[in-house]
Amino acid sequence: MNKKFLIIDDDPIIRILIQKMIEVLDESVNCYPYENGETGLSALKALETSADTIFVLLDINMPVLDGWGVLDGLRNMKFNNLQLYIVTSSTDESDIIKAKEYPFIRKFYHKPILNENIIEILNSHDIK
Amino acid sequence: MSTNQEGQNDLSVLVIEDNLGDFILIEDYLIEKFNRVNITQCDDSKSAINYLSQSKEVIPSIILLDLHLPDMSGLELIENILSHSTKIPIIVLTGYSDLNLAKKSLQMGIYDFLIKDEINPALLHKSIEFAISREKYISRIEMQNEKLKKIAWTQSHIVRAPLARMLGIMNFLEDNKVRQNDIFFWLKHLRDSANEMDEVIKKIINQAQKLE
Repeated sequence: MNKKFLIIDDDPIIRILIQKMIEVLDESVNCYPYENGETGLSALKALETSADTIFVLLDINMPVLDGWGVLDGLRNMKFNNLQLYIVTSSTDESDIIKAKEYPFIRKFYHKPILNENIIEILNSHDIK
Repeated sequence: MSTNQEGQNDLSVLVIEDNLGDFILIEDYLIEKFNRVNITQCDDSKSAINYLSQSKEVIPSIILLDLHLPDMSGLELIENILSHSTKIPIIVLTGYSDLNLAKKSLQMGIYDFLIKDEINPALLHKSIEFAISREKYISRIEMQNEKLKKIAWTQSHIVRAPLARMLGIMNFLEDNKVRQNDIFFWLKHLRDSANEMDEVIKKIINQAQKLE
C-alpha cells in the first residue's frame, strides 16, 4: 500500500519546501503538488476509491478555488484513508472556528509548517 | 452641510415629550432659532420607538427627550431610545436637576442634559448645534477606525505569507544538509520574500498616511 501526499498551495516555494521536507523524512512517499483548489480537488476526486493512504496539506487562501471550496467539495466523499490537514498563513481565530465545521480535518497548522508537523502527519495513519 | 450657520439648513427634530405646554414652548424656541425646522412629536416611548423604527424620508437630525413619559422614565427610557436612535444625537430635557443621572446619561451616549427651567431659545439652539457637529466629528472618527481596522486585518494576512515562507526556508536550511548550489537557490527566495514583505509594509505605511 502506497502513501500519496498532496500539497495544495498557491505558493510555489512552499510547495517545493514541503516536498523537500517529505523527501528527507520518508522516501517511499509520493508527492503531488497542486497550485490551487481546483486542480487539487479534481486530483482528490480521482483518488476517492484508492486503497492508498492519502495525505493532504491544504492551504486556505488560494486563487480559483480556495481551501474552503476544496473542503466543501469533499463533504460527501468517502475515502478509505484520508489524512487531511489545513495549513495557512492566516492566524485568524475565525478560520479555526470555521474549520471545525469539517469533521474530516485532522488538524490546523499555521505556516511555516515544521519538520515535526510533517512527521506527525506521516505518522497519522499509524496511530489510527 | 459644513457651513452650519444659524437657520441656514433644514433641521428635523423629534421631540419626545408628553406635556403639551412644554412641547409648545420647545416648538416656539426651535422655530425662533431655526428658519427651516421640521418638528415631530411623540408623547410616549412606545410611539417614539415605533417612529424611529419606521423607514422614513427624513431622518431626524436630533432627538429631544423628556425623561418622564407616561410609559417609561429615567435610565430605562434613555437605554430604550438609545437602542433605537441609531446615530441620531439625543438631548435630554428634564424638569429636575439630578447631577448623578446627568452624568450617567452622558456616559451612555446622551449629548446634553438640559433642565427645563433653564432652557431658553439661545441655550437650546447652542446645544443642538453642538450636538450635531459633535456627531459629525464622531462619525468621521468611527469611519477612520473602520478603515484602520481593515488595513490592519488585510495587511496582517498579506504580510504573514512572505514571512511564513522565510521562516519555512530558514527552518529547512537549519534542519538539513544543503548543497552549495541549493543554498543559493534558497537565499534568492529568502531575498525575494524579504522584498515582497518590504513592499507590503510600504503599502501599509502609505495607506495609514492617507487616513489624514
